[in-house]
Amino acid sequence: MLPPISGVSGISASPGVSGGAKPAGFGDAITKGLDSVANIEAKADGLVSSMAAGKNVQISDVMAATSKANLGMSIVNEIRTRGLEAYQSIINTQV
Amino acid sequence: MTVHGPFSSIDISNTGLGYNKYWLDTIAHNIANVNTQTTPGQAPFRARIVEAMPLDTNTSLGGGIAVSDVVDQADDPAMMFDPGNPLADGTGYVQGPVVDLAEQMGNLILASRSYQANMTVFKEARDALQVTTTLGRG
Repeated sequence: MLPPISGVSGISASPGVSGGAKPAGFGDAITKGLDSVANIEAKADGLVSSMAAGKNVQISDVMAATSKANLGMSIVNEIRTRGLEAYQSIINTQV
Repeated sequence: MTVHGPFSSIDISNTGLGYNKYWLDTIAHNIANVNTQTTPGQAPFRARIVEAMPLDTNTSLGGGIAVSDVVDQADDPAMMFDPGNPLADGTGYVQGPVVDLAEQMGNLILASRSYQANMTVFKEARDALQVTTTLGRG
């Protein structure tokens, strides 16, 4: 059985930004998202294990849990991609 | 159960799937016992009837459905004259089950169609959420 995805260690907010408030921390947001997805996945994992072990588990509950885990992962991944795109467009700014 | 969240439609249709699965199981039990005879005077086999209960009716969204109770059908059992039957009483009668096969077949269609309807809601909710995640793509 695969271990649940554990949250990545937070990407530290860039220290080079001077002045103004400390940025909210995109890395922290992604880490939080991954943590909550890991929780959902752990639940789904437990249900799948129970079903495979022949315990009395509703198939629809397993499917709901796995669908939620899948959707949660998609959402976090999309947000990561959007954030990365924003970063890339700033990095590629011509000066 | 609080179901306000991104996956509430999945959770609610899941309760519908669970309820209709329970209903199907009950119908299977009733149809399996459609020939269960007993000696008059003993408790006859009685068809189980599932009663539904809506969940979270005091919230704006609602929370789906649950089984509130399972009751026995309350009709009189049919008496059949069958003196050769080992279950027959002194007068030669055996007691039939309290279950109407035609009614159970009708319920079977209802239960399986309800299950499919909830499955459709589940799939549509999942697909809608999946497509929503792609909204941000440029």
